[in-house]
Amino acid sequence: MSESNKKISLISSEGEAFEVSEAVAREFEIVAHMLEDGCSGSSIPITTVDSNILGKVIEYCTKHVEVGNVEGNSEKAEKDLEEFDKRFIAVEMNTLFSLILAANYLNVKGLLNIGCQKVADTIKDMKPEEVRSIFNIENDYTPAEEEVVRKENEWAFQP
Amino acid sequence: MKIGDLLSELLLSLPEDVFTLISRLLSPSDVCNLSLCCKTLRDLVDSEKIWLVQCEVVKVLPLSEIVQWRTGISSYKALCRFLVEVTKPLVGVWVHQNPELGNVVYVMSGFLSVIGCRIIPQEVGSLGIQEGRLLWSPVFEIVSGFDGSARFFLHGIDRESSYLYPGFVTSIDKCCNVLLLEVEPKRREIERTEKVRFPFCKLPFCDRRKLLYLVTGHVGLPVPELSLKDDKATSLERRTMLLKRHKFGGNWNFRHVDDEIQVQGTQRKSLSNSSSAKQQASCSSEIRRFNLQTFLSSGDFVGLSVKASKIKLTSYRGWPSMHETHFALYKLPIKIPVEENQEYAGLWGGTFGWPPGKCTEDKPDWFAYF
Repeated sequence: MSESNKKISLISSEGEAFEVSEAVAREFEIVAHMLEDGCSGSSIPITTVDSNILGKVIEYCTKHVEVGNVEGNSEKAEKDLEEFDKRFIAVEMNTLFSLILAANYLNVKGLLNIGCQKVADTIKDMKPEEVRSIFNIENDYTPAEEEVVRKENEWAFQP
Repeated sequence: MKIGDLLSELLLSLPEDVFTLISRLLSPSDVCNLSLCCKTLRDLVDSEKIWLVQCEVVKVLPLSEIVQWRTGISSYKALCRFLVEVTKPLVGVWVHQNPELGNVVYVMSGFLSVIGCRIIPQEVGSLGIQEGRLLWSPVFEIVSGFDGSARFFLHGIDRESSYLYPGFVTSIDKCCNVLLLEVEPKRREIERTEKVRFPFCKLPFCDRRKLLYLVTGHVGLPVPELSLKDDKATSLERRTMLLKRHKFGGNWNFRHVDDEIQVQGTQRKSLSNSSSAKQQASCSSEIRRFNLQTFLSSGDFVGLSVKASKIKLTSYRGWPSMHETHFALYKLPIKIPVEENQEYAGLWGGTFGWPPGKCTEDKPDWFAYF
């Protein structure tokens, strides 16, 4: 565990530096690959992610590394982590999408999964009108066109 | 407003693989709802990639077969439609009267189709079941058209050779528990005027039986002969042949039915002796004839049809109570296995009255029986 004491700086799109332990930085698969490719140097620029989101992603990874290191009562730890994930992802739509995009870019699988789950839960079992209002989508179908699409998709609905 | 605009843009600008990841957590109806939101979203959602995922989500066919089926159908969306509409509700174990005599129909996936098979009650030879000489016969199959629509074929025997009777799939309820073989009047033009119709099931048993016999007598086709090779090319060839035959068979003018049934009706009438019985018979036969005519008048022609619906079933000794006068198959509920050794305990227990734990002891009997 001595290696994990090594610090690495992650630089956000605004140029702000976030100092994290190597173990946390390695949660970003993209960073892990860089390190394995022999990319030395202690600061890594993450040019597509802003400070606010990068901070959040680091918070997520730090928590997961921490819990991963604790031995013993794993059941309770897992439950705690689930609770943490739930609270962590309960954010505004805008932030949620930014988190998903960042997680996809940085390749943080766990965060990407809970982000996608959250979006899916938002869409699930919603009528088109409801989805439109959640995402503020403008309906550009004419009533006749909409009817055609509705007919085409009739099979997917009950009974 | 600016923020809201950004939101919809964000949803639409998600990278394709992220969107696929999200779609894996949705159902076909969710995806269809998305495509109803706006045109851009529809274009994003109506992709082969998304619908391939949806075919997997339905969980009735392994991925390798989904990919294979795609060769005979226009798109993964059409394939998904067939899986949702036909495969998922029908696959399972169905029974007919006297299931203990072997009237059990196992419905499973074929190639771009579902097939109902019955294992013929038989003695297993000295070589045992391993030799693969189990006798079985097809009961029906529902084949998918190129666009994912469903075509029905009843299997039967006519003059000693195997016959296929093409027909329509009227409707399949997603939670169906009864599969009804019926005769349905159809109209040639596409537009369907919702007329008050006299339902087939309300006709008296003898009329229903006669209609079925007459229709099957007219639409029967010999089973296409094919090489016995069991490969993909043969399956595809067989299906193409079936679809072609379905186009040419499957319906014929109903006027004959009307006449034929009426002739049989008068014959029966002359059999009754006493005058009062005669009067009663003629009166009821008038109503019968009227009902039959109402039934037939709702279409230009009649065809064989199959309908899967959900009805309330009572059960007797573990079996569903089956109506003697219905041409129906009843679906057996399969309980979710509680423990490993209790797999299908509900079915076996219900069928043969074994307590779940004792299955293994009685197994030899079961094999010998089939």
